[in-house]
Amino acid sequence: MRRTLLLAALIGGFAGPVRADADADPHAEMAAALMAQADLEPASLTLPSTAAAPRHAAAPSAVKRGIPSRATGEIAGVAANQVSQRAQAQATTQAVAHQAQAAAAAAAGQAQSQAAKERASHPRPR
Amino acid sequence: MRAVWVAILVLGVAGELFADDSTTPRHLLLGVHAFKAGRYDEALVELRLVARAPDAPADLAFYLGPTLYKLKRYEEAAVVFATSRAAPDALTDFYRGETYYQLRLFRKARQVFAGLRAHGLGPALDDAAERYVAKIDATYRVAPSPGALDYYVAQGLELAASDPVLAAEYLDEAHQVELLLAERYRHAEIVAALARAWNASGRPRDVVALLAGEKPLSPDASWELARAYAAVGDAVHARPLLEAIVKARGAHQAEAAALLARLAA
Repeated sequence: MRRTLLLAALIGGFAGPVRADADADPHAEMAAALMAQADLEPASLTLPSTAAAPRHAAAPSAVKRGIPSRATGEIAGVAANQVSQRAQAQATTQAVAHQAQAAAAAAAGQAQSQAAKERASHPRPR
Repeated sequence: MRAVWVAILVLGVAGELFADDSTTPRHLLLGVHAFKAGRYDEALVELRLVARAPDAPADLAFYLGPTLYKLKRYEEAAVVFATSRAAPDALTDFYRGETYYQLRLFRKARQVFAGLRAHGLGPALDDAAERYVAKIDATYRVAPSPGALDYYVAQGLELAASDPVLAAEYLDEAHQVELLLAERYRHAEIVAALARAWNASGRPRDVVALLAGEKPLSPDASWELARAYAAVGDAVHARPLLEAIVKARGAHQAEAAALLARLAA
């Protein structure tokens, strides 16, 4: 009898958290998170001019985002280099810096996302 | 023996529960929990799995759009919001407005935030929406320069072939900015390019709304309007436009003739 109870308790305890998840309401949880994490203060606003400007406001650099991966660095470097070369032809120094920064951040984000996907493709330990 | 039966019973129940572990709701919940914890890259991985599932929720943009926004992947976020077929939701719209703002699509951002003020999102978000509108209005107190409009048109044209949904967002901004200029500037080019992008991204009704009252129509715009009418099944309006294009022997003659033949079939 004791063995039966032990076994049931063990398996029941293991399954408990899963049942708790099944009872959760993702929509309500997400709504709360969205409210809490919304950017309430608009950033400074400047109208773009001509096609040389980046498509969005300057993004934080890969270094600032704390992404040390070698692959990230390489991808970011290649992207920054490509942008830099293209921008050289346009001969607008300030735009070069912005574009390289944005491209580096975008490449870093992609690499980070790829790494996360790879992590996710491995079975999670239970 | 009794222990074995109890174990089988409990394992059966547990097995059923764990079967859910790989299903869409489970990934959605993992994505939400990662988002809550600020692990947006992990949230994105989970939500991408949800997006690929046949039983993905209709309001996926509610989860995926803000996640991409938090990862500063604004263009992808804008596409997610623009292609969402879910019923309008105020919180999703708040993040859509923020995404537009980051992409410097300020007229579109203003439109979203101004619409949100009527929804009552609570004091914090209502006030924030008000601030976004005020900031944009302050900037546009002076008429925009043609250079700003050139920027949006250039971005839209550059993206037109590869990403018509995003191209349409830039061209729609250009269209709205152009309305603020004292004189028309690149008007025919903008409406034709916007109509093309909307047709290419499955929004023929928007093309009809954009061009139905437009006079005069450029040959390109005329072709896009004819395509849009045909796409929504309005052959009565499509046919005379197509016949005029064929008769004019312009750039879209062959395509117009083919479409006319399809409408006649």
